[in-house]
Amino acid sequence: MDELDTYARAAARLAGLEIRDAWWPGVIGHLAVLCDNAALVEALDIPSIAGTGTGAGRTPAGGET
Amino acid sequence: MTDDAVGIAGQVRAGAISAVAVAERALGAIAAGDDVVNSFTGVLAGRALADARRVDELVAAGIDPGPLAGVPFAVKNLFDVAGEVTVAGSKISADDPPASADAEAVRRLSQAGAVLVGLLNMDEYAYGFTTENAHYGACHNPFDLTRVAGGSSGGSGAAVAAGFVPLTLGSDTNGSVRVPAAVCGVFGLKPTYGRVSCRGMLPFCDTLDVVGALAPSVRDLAVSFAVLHGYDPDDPVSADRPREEAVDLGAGIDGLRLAVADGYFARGGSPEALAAVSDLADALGVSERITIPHAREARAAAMVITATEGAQLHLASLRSRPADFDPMTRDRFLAGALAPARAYLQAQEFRVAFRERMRALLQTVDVILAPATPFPAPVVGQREAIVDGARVLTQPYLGVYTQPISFAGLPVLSIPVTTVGGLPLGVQLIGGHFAERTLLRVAAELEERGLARMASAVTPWR
Repeated sequence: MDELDTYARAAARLAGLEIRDAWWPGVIGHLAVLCDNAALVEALDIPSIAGTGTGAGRTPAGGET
Repeated sequence: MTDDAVGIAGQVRAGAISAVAVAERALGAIAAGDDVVNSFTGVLAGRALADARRVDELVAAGIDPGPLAGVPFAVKNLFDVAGEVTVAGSKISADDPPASADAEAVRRLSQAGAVLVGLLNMDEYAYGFTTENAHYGACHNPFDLTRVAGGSSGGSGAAVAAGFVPLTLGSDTNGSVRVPAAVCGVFGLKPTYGRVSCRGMLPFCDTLDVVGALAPSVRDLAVSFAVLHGYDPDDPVSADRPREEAVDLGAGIDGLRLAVADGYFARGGSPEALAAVSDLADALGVSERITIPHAREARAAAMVITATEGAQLHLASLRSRPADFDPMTRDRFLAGALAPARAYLQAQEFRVAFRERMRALLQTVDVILAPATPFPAPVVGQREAIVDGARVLTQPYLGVYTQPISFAGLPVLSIPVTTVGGLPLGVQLIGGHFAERTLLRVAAELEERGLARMASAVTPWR
């Protein structure tokens, strides 16, 4: 969590965000959840999921057409 | 069923009742009952009565006002309404100038004869599943006023359940039409991504947002969908497809392949929520089970995309006015603003692959049944619940079954199937991309058989 806190404070400075001390526990908690979620996605073999080989992911996000 | 939108429109078109009388009745019900429900954040009596008079003038002149003639409707307050400020449940956007024109969805309903009567409560910037809004107050569930109405389109669900209006608009990014529809005991349709124009709707997450409707009957959803859907060249993600003819709601379900989602969708919910699906399947004689792969990861990726895109949309306000956000929204947006780009890009890459996988899966079945919510409406202020012996955060967990589906952009119809302890539960009917007509056909059959019906709330103001 210390590493996440260090990262988050640096990222906040980079983004031009002033986060009050009282808000940090909530922000870090939500960021930790996002990191856990990102790790779940990171662990996937995405090209194999669509069954279309390495082409998966090359079309724009969104449009179902 | 004369109190549903189609029933009202039929009477108005036939001259059996005036649109003004219908509008006055809706306005009276809102005035009598919404102080305890808190589903409305604004009532547009002047516009409603003027629009209703125009409808009556058309009827008197022998001109058909449209399929929604005189139907009172209301919209989540993130839709632009000419002359009104689009607050989107926030304090910050309340300082914006009034909208200069109606959102495209509002325009289409009005053009079809519907009469806009008001603006509805929601989670701030659509980020939530309970409509416990720090600025405008919690929206209460008409079935039990101590409980939430779901979210983020909580006002849209509660206003229909309370009998204030028979048609509302909401938006669905992760389940925000389906969750309130389910816990308020009404029907809700989340169309395919890109199917209904989002122009004039304040976005939450551009790559997931969809406009949806909530109503007391399937035929209301069918008619409103027929009015709402269609290509809009001014919406960058609008699907360029021809409009479809109205669906034959009496066509039955013979020949359709139905299956029940197992795995992820058959665990993690209350016994009652899971039984709602299995009981429906048993009643229909559906024995096939189907596994939606990577549902957990799909929900995870949806959460990453939502937080990141939402934060980007509101970055200027996060920098200049962070204290003016609802604290719950602010913390999540700030976290989203700090997430690394790689997390977002991978989530979007996965989305494309997942969508293709779902496309293939839905070539093997026509409709998949799944729970809508893991439990009925929680109590206002409830932060945690115990599910399968595990402690979960109530608010985000309400979307556990809806988020993986919208992540693939699929159309879903939430149907009210039962009540437990007086509280409604819903089931999702999930179809392939652009298969809204199939979903409406199945829902109509279930309604006809009495397997799905709008639950009756105690509404002493009616």
